[in-house]
Amino acid sequence: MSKKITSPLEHDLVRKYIEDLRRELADHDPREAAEILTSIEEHILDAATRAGDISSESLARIIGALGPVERIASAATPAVAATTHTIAAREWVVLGVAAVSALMLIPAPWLAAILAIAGLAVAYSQYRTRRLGPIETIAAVIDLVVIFLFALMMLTLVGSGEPELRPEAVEVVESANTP
Amino acid sequence: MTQLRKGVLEYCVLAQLEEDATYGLELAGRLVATRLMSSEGTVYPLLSRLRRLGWVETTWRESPEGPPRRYYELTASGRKALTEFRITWRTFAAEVDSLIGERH
Repeated sequence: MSKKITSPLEHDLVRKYIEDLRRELADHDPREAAEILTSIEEHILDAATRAGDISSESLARIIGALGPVERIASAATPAVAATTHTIAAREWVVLGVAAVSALMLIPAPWLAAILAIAGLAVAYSQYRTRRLGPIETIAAVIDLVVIFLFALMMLTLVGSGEPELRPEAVEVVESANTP
Repeated sequence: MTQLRKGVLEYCVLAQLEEDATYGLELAGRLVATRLMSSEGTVYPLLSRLRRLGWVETTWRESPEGPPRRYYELTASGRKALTEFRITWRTFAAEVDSLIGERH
């Protein structure tokens, strides 16, 4: 049974729009970003109340009139350069970890897989708040490839299986103490 | 042209609030109708910046249609900034007009 929507803000269309806007504003002044998000929610509530309609079509019209989230974010104040530098440094660390995991795939596959999974988890958590930069995207692709190759290696090992003990291969050693 | 438009837009918002306090939906609709703004959402980053400059302040008022609305109104320093911009703009526009003129 589907949940009955009582507020336009609960509608999937609106939630996705707000989430996309939040992500676009992640690299902007945090106080301004919070204020813009609240104002946009109020605008949607107000417009939906005025329209007296919270159908998908009506909400799509309201969102369409608000315009693309990228356009709203481009009108906002970018965060101070220090924040940008911190993000850039973090991106290089993520890429470094991905490179190490790729290099460790043959000598230490389990360690490589753990590093790659950790790298992907970090990339996903970043993706939830803002758009990934090109360096982070490359790191995430490397992590995915490492995990794929690791899984392939494990499947190959399991597929080849342990060598079975054949009766003729068993060497019977007779003990001198055997009566 | 985009930079010029961006530069004057803040003062157009101030001018819209000069007579009466207005809520976001109404203000955004008015600015889009003038075609100075291509979509309603871009008014909110502007309003946020104007509020932090101390040129605009917000108050909550009851709405006959639904939940209370946030109204934006001009502060004394906002009025002063608008007055100063009017003088600068008129001089600037006159100078540009004299340079580019009109071709018949």
